[in-house]
Amino acid sequence: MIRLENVTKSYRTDEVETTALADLSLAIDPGEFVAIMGPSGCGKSTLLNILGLLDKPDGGRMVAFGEEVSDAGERKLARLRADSIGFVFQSFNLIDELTVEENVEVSLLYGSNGRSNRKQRVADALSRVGMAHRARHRPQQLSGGQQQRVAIARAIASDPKLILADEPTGNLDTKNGDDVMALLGELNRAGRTVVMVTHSPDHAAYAKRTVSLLDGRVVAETRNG
Amino acid sequence: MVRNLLTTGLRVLWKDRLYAAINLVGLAVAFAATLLIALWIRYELNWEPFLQQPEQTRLILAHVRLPQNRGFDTLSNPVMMRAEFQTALGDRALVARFSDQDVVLSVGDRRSNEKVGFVDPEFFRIVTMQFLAGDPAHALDAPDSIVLSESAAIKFFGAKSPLGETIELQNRATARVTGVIADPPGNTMFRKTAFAASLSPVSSIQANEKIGRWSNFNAYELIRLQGATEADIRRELDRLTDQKYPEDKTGNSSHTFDIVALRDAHFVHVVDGRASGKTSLVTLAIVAVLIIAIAGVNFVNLATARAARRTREVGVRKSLGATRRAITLQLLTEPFLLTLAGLLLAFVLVETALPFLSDVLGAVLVFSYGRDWTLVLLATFVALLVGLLAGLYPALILSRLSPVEALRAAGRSGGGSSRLRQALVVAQFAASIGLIVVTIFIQQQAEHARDVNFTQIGGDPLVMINNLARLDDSTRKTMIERLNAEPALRGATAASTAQADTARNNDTRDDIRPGQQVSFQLVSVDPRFFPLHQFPLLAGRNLEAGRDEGQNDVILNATASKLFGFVNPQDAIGRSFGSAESRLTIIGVVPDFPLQSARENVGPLVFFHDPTIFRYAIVRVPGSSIRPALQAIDRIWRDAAPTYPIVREFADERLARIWRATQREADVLTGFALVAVLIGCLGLLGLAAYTAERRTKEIGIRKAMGASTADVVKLLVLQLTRPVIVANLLAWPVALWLVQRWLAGFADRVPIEPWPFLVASVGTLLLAWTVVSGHALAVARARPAFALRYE
Repeated sequence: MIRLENVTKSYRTDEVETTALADLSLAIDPGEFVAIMGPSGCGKSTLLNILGLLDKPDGGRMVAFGEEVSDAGERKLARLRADSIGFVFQSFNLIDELTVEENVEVSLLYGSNGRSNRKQRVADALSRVGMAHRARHRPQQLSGGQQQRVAIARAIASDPKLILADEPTGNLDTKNGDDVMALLGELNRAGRTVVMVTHSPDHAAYAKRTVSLLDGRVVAETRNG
Repeated sequence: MVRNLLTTGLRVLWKDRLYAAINLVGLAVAFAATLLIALWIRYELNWEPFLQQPEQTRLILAHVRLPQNRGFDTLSNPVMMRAEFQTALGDRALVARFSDQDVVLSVGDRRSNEKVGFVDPEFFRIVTMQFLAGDPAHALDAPDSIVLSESAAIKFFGAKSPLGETIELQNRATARVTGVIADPPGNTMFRKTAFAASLSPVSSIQANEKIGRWSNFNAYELIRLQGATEADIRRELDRLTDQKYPEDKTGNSSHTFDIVALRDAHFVHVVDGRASGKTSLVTLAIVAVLIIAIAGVNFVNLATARAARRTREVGVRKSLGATRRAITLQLLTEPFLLTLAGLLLAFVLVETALPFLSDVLGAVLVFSYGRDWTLVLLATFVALLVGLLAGLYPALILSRLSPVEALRAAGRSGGGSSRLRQALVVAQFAASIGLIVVTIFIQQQAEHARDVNFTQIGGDPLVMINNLARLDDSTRKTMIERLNAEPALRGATAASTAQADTARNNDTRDDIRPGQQVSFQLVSVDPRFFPLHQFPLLAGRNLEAGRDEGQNDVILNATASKLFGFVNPQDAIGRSFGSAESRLTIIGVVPDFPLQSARENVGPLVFFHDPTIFRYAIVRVPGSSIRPALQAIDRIWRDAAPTYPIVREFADERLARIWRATQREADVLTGFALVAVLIGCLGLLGLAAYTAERRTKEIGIRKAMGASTADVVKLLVLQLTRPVIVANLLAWPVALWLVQRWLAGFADRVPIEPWPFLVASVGTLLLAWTVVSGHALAVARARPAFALRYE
């Protein structure tokens, strides 16, 4: 589904250059549930941003959904994001000014969906995560767990092939964290590919494969169960 | 403590340089513009600066309404009025008349045309101009006395003292110099070269006293109250209306009077023929208030928007033990620093712009910190007020938060006040749009009025010779004949009035329409008047030299033809009115054209041919060889009238001079309106930067969801379009109302068309788009990962 070959990425500030990814190669196959682990600053989030086409690698090759994207234009990347990828963030990243259903709808605005089609998909996604009854609320009126479920609803509304989750349970208590993991596992069993960054070994156990990073390199890969 | 406040304040400003610069420039320009307007308004309100007792000094304004005619307002009054006042008020008031005339002054072979005021002996005790030599109380007691301005004294007598020297008036009378006054300043109605006694044989006051007609309005009536009250004058004026104008009771004419403070009198006369209020000053004051309001709103808007960013800092400071008072003080420091810096910069701008503005306005505006300390104080007060308003709201809200709340709220965007902010943006845009619309109409009307007058000239240039009345009848006749015969010229004509002339010769008759009084203006023209101006005849024939001279044959303009009762101009031809000695026989009808000023309706005009009252010669010169033509004119004049210097002017220059004041005001108003719009745009720029930054997270999310750059730009730009549209809906009706009111003051006015409204709307929208799109594009282009990390 996505293949990275010898990808590098570094960040420059005025004084220092930080290498985030060093010569990293990784392949994600359809139907996988991959957990990415590692200490702070090892490049997890950078990797996820690159997988999600939110950021471009400095070097190396990248093929996503059968297309070469190493030097694709902004327009093409935006289309791929709209059609094929769903995001779940640690801090939920819901838009405060919009209602729950409007937030979910945002992921459909930039694809090729008609208005009535969008309404239906939003309703379906919200009921799948059990948030249909809160459709007209604002994000601030919800608990953290509820907000994350809305964020997941948003990630799946456009029926993407790949779901990327950046520490989806990081801001949640254990109970809510477990609920979210259960939801992601369910989505994976229903056929979606899920890639997740996490600090928690317990939550990593939900995944079928765990990739460990250190200083921008893959240092270990384990198959679970 | 104070040092800590200042350094934090300055560092915050430095960190947000763009924001600080936008505010600084906006505030400085706004303060400067407002100060300049204040100086101008003060200049206009302080005419006759030399008056010792301005609150005791009055002038009479006459309102004359004639049947079937618009009538006129004038500061000139019947010359007999003074005697009536003196009888009624005795020594409880000083009364003096003033009448200005063009007079040839000569000393030896030094000879020139000068503006001379003819005044009564009390004049200098009322209009207390500064005397450099002589006794103001008695300088003009003798009928042959004259007081010179300093520059006139130097011009005619050089360095030696002129006191006791003689000077010749109009080659007819001799006057003795009894005083020298300092040259009058720019803001006085009495800016003359010299003042001579009203009893001089040259004085028109003298001549009119002999004629003794209460229907002639020739001299200003100046009154200084010395115990008498306005009520006393009022009573006397009512009595005069009653006794001297018996026809008011029967006919539909009316003669009424108003008492005007001398200091306000220049407002009355700025508009020829029609008393007008202080409209342009009021408009200016409104613009000044709008400019300050827009800049203030901008500043408050940006400051409150910005304050949300400091929530975390407030949380930290509070958790370290800062009191609420300390936090409030700290948040107020930054806006105060900015407004005060803006004010300082404004003073610099004022000093730089003042000479330039004075030049444009033709006025001498001065600003001195010592003398104008009230203005400085007021400006400082306004600046502090703006600073307080901008700082207070965020200071109060933020300082109230508990440290935990502050830290928790830090990440969130301030949703609550965004509606207020939108409202402020709408208000600001509405003001800008309204200003643009009103200014477009003012400009259009100014140009229209000028153009209407200019079109009358048409073709090759026209030269007007102004002092034809000086010559005796035969000289005048030969002069016109010779000008006409001169091959270097394209023809000449003459008339009793001309463009930009305010003198009127009105006649009222009851023998034209049964049972009705009919008033019209009488204009004497030479038969070549219409062909030279290329005015066609609607019906009948032109006047003919020899055949109609001194006869009763007249030509009507279209309005007069209608007024006389003819639906069709053709019907008027050959009709006669009146008895044998005052018969009018209509021989032709010409279309309406503005005779004297476009501000006024073209009233009913009756043209006849009486060379004895010609005052203007009008000569058409070939545009290709102007110089030889002017030489020919001067030569012909010199041959025929060697004792009088010629006074000539190009018609278009004469018109331009008349319209310069109006056009100048329109231009300055436009300038200030543009300043207001620019300040509004600056505010918008700041707000766009802030909004884009505040929405970085949202934009990141949208981009993660697949939004393209174009989608994001569209989103940001559309969000800004809504307030502009609402602002338009608010501004249009108000602007329409203002424009209608303003245009009502003009007889010949431009139609109110929709395009200025559209121009203002589309203009502001485009401007707004341009201002925000840069920021929108920058934010929209950022990689989504970067945008999201912002948190």
